[in-house]
Amino acid sequence: MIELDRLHRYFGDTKAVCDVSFAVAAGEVFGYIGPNGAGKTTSMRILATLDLPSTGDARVDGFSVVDDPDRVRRRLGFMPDGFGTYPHMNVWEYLDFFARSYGLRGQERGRAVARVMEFTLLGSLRNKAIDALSKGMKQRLCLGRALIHDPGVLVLDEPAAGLDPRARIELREMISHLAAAGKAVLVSSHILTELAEMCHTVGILEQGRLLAVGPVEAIRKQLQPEAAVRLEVLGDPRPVADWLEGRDDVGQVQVVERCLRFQHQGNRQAEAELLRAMIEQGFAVVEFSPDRQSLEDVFLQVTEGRVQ
Amino acid sequence: MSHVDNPVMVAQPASPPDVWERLDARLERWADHLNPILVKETRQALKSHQFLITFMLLLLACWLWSVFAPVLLGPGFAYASKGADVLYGYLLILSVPLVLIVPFAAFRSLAAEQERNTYELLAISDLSARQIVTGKLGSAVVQIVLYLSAVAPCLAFTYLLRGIDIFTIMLVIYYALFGSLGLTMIALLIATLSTARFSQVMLSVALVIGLFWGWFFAVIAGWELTVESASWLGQGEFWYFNGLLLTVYVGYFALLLLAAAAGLGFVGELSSATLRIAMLLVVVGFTPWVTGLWLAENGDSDVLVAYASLVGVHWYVLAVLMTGESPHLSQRVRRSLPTSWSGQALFTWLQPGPGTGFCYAITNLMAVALLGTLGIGLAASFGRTAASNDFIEMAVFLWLGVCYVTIYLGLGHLLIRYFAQQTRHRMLAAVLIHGVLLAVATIGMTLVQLLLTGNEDYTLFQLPNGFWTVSFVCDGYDQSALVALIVIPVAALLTLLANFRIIGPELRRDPAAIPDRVAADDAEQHVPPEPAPESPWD
Repeated sequence: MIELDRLHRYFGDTKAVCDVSFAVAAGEVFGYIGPNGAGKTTSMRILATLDLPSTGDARVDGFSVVDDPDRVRRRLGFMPDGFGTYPHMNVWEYLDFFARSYGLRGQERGRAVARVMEFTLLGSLRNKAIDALSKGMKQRLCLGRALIHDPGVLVLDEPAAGLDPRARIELREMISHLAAAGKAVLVSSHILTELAEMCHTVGILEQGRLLAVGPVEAIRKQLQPEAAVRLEVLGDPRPVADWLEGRDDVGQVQVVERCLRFQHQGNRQAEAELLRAMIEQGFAVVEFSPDRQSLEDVFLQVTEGRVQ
Repeated sequence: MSHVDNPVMVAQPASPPDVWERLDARLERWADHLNPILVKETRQALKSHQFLITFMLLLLACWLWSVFAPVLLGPGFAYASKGADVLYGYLLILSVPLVLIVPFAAFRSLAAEQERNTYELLAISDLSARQIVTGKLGSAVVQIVLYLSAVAPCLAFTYLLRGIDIFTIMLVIYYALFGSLGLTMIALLIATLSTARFSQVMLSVALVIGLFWGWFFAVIAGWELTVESASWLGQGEFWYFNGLLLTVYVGYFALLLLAAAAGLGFVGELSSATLRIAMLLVVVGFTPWVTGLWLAENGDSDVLVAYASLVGVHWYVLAVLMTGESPHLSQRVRRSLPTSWSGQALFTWLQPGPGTGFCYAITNLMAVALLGTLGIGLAASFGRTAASNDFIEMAVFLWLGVCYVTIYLGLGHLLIRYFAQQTRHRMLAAVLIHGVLLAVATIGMTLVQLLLTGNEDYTLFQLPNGFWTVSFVCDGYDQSALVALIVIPVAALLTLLANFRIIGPELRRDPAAIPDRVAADDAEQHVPPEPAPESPWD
């Protein structure tokens, strides 16, 4: 549904987006990760036909954003970073206006507004002035606006910024529902734990370059080929560390307070055997768990010093 | 107790919709055909404090004037001719919202779309840039009509007084409506000129100053209108002038509207074709009025000089802007390029690009010069004395003028190509380059001559100065005039040839093929209707 093909965008000498390529399939949620100024918003604006690439192209449902922006717009819902709301307008008027703007007429428009209000749980706020809405509600309204013409592709720029935990959870659920309904969703966020939970695939962007792209698990495995294990024992962990360092299948043993962290070569069966061996040695193991990198760790590891 | 608890109560069938509900439903259906921006703007405007306060103040001012005018205008109010004075008072009150508030509100409305990040949401919807501009304009019309409606009873009241007639009242309303609408259109165009915050502030300051000047003019013109217009009714010149004014107004209004829409439009959209046609139609609409006047004045060359000068300025200014266009054509626009030889010959000039714009302006100017020359020739042959006396002088004026415009525009175009090819602000660069070129050729050369020779008469130093040279050559002949008549056409020809060298690729743009995906989408959207059954068994 979404394809970025060697996309470049220069502003004078600044390379805002440099050779970015990825694809998002229908029903997939793609997380776009990067620090401020990495080029996320620029590439999303190009996808939304609000800017033109310097070279390369982006396609939505097979249509080029350069050559067929009108066809792209009909298939795409864009939620920009800012709210983009009007004064002296209530929730229903706002959605009704955008439904009209997308050419929806008569009962079709009424149904579209009702559907969006139901999905975003804004039905009870139908006549409430937009200026009086909370940030979370405004964010829902903007998502509703992006959905009013039932697009197959959604581009959401920082939709969770500034939301409280409850509103974030609700937004995450809505995005998951949209993906389940077959929509391709491209979402950027600074809150990486948020993205890790809802995205099937992520792309890590820094200084305009895409450093890694793929499912979080695949990137994690790529960065950390050996399984990391976290171990907690009762008493002094140093004898355990010494014992572990004597084994061939264990490396990089680190003692952090009463816990140990080490790399283990082997599958889950080998891990179980290692645990049994430790217990047979008389170590009082209270926790033995895989120590997986969070998306934040992955992000930090990928972006560190790679692009100058 | 609900009807569920009471077995005797039965659910009532839904009552048929009453008159108001039916009317509401019908209005809703009609509103479907309205511009969405108009619907939104009207909803917002009617709820805004600005509109409510202005409307209430307008009513209050009218009421106060109705009460105090008899007091201020003295005891003869009932029988003396004081109607015009009272009408002028209402006109002054009305001029504040119509000349100042409505245009500025329209400007702010469009500028605020950029500031509030809502313009981008409109840009990615199905709304075209033209719909956005016409929607804003429509909202201004609604407000103008509401303000006029509020003052209408007061205007009707003046008809009951002595010294005023219905014609004057109608004329006041006519000018107020069209004046306010014209200013609103200019304000909307200004709002599209820049999206940068600082530029918007500067533009809004300039607009406010301009509107206050406009208001000052309206106050003076309004007095003339209310006091003098009754005597204009029987004068043919008055109707002629209004017809001419309306034609020019409609032409430039359409041009400004299209320019504003082009300013808002997506990069690479084919908005130039309609703009260029509108540029031509302005001249085409203006020409019959001037021709009529010229014939009525027995072929007076002053009429032709004024007409040719105005048309020259029209095409020069527009060509300056056209030479600032980007030569880039998106694939989508290239798909719509004509493929036939005749189509390319006719429509290439309407495609965006500095080269096509330059050629279009020069071709139009040459056409005007040719028609002018033929017209004078015909008029002279039919015995129009003024025309036969001035034939040579007018032909020289027309063609030398065309040569100068060709030289200025051509050199400017070449300089833009070489110095401003890569700039993001091509339009601004074009205006600056042409402006500097014209200033150097006219004021610069005059200063050079004065500094070097101290001579205040025409010399060959002034060859680049089109204004002085044309007037000098038309006034009489000497050696300098002869040199100008040889050098300037040759220079114009050389400039044209130099430009054609770089315009070539712009004229040879091949149409792009339609991608399969686009063709498939078109086919999906234009599914032929199923054939209707031809018999009951089908």
